[in-house]
Amino acid sequence: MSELNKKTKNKNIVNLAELPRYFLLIALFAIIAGFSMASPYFLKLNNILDIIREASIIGLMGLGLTAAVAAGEFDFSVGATATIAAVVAGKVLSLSSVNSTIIAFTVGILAAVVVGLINSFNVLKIGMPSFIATLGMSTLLDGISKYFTGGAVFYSVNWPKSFGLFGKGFVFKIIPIPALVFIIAGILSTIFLHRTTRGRYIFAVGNNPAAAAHVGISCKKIKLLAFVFVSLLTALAGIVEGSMLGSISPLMGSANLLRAITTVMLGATFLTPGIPNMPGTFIAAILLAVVGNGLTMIGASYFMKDVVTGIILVVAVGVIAMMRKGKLGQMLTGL
Amino acid sequence: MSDSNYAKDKAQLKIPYLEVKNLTKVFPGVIAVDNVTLRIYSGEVHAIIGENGAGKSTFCNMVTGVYKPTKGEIYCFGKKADFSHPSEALKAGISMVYQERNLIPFLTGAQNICLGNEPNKFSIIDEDKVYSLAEKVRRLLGIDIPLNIPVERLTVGVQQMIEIIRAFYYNPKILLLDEPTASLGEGEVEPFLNFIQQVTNEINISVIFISHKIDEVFKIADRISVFTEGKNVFSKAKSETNRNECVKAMLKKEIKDVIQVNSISKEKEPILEVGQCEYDGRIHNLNFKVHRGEVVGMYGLVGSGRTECVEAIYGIRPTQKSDIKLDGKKIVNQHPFNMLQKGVVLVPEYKSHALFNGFSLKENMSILFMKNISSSFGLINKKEEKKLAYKLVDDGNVKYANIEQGINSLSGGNKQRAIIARSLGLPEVNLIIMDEPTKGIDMGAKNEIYILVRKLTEKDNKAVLVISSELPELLNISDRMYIFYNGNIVREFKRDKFDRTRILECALGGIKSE
Repeated sequence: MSELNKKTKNKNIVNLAELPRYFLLIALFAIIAGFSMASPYFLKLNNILDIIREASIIGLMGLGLTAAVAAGEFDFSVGATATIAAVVAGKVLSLSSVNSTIIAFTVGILAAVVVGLINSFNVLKIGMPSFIATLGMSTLLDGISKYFTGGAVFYSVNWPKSFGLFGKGFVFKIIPIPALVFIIAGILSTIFLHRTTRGRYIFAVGNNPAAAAHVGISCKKIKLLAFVFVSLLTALAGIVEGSMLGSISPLMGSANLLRAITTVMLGATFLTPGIPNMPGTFIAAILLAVVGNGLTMIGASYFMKDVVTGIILVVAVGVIAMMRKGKLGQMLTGL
Repeated sequence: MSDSNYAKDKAQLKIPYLEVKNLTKVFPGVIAVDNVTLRIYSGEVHAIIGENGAGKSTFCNMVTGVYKPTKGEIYCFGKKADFSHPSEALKAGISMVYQERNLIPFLTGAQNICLGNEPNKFSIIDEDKVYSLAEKVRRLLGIDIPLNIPVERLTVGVQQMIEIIRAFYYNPKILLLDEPTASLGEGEVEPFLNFIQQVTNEINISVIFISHKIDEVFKIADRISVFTEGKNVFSKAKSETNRNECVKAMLKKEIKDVIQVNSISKEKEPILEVGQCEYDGRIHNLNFKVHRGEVVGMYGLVGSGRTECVEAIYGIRPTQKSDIKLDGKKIVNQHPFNMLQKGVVLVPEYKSHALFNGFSLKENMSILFMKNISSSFGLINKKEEKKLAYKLVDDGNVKYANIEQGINSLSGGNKQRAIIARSLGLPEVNLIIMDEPTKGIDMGAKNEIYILVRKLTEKDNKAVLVISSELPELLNISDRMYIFYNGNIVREFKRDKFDRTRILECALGGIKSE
């Protein structure tokens, strides 16, 4: 969006009214500062990389979902799609005739893309609201995953070692592969949504379908693209998670659904309030991982993670709502 | 003249239920209602007739307390009325039935009628009483329609009747009907008019009947007022006037020609040729041509199908069958993308159909040219984008503070300039279709558009198709004009044969013959 590279040439050193747009980043640094004071181990490089690794699963799902929300649709099936990609990859790999991890992962990703295409068909051809179509798809996929895994956590002795490499391996012996995947996906997604023609069309379709049609944009093609984008990134998330855990639970994706949605909603408070954006989603995913990691490190009770996450979401959205009404600006500039 | 009428009415012992004196409503930049003085008598259907934008609806909205008059007084049953909300007018006995249906689809007729005033027992709605109260009003009016089934299962005509019953639920003395027949089918209009006439006489109320259909008005009204440009031209009993006089009165005063169209341009090669097209579930006769270097106007009343026609041609409205030729070549499966490629661009009636309010001015300008400012991978070149946007807004005279500012911070006229500038930025643009290009913008900005339209055709040899509801404007700028009635084009007028009365007659009644 325009504000992304907007250079604020203001006479004031800091324009206080602009501050809420960076609330997410400020909150992230404040929380990091707090945890690093509480625990000397928190700011160690190992731990930081570990946080990014933890953020990668919901982060990848969130990046995908961001494109769908930008296009004016929603995808409740991100969790279940992630599971199905992992289940299909795992099943393929458990066949004694297949021992190429790459083939198995590719088949898993293709399975997710098929889900994305079915979602597009339901929404764009049949005309179901995406909210409901993908909710139904999510339940259906969870059922299918349970059938394939026998309803329990699934693993196979036939899986080669390379299966776990994707989730547990390191580059240069220090950077976790999932963290690297997440960072690269974050950069590519940002370029895709904020720097390319297709990305601009996604926002156009989401912002005003009537105007998009008038300027010759095919709404259906663009929304199809968004749905396929979601399924690709979601499949990546599922495979990373399966590989990381070394086993596949039929509900592992859906367990992440709400947190993935949270990253998009939190992300939409960043830079361009009210408009989902990739950098925001990326930071939000990191923030959620920081909260989880930090609270564990300082030995907080098991429920604190939910409490803190909930507070951050409500406060972030509240700050933006107040900013819209102009109250916060008045408060800050009146200081 | 009018004073003697009033004297005659007094002799007939008719009481003025509603009287307005010097009623005026000024909106920023426009006088919607200008010094209107009127009396509405009991037991009469008083029709107010006028073109779109003549001030009829604004007048009603002042009577019912939606708008506060800028000047003037309203007297209700002899007492000065100063309503600040429609509910107060309702209490005083003024009910209004709006042009659009306002029913809740899944509730029954009876539930809709009592909505907002349900009889209840201990805060629980007494459904039996709801039904019996609604039935009572229904029987009183002598309407035979079912009130116990959800209204969504009823025809539009029956729904209209339910709205009327709802209006009578409040025991009105004055009933305002705003274009009540607009949504009715052909078979439904006649019974409806009869019903209104009957009720008016039996219950001795007064009905204000807003319409722009002259046939209906002469069928139903006892008295007719003609509104033009917010002014009440005359109020006469039906017997004292005739259709011709009314049509003439509806015509606006000649506005000064700011555009000099010297010679009628000789017919050049046609860009667009359209025959019969099928959309919205029926066949439309749209036999028209647009040639290079001419301005073609499309006139008709609101709802006569002009916008639908250009939307079907541009490919926004799904068409079942179409007969469209562009530069002599037949077009099938028309889509805005292809039309833009072929140099046809539509400037829609509503700015919200052209602009993205979440985007900046720059992004709104560049959205039509993404191919030109991005690499083959689709990567946008931000510098090129800015350069292009600056060029477009400067060429189009758009006034702005910052190219990155949100589009919504521009004024209506500037938004329109931006949309037109963007459309004209297309390299191969041949035909510009403008749907109500001057709607909601001030006089100066209007003139600018007239001059631009003439320049495009005369100097640049492009073709412009203009839809407008303002006849003087079209008379002023077009070389030829097509008149729409009921979804079809019924007449073509050349500039040397422009005749305001005949054009308006065609638009009002679809008269085909010479």
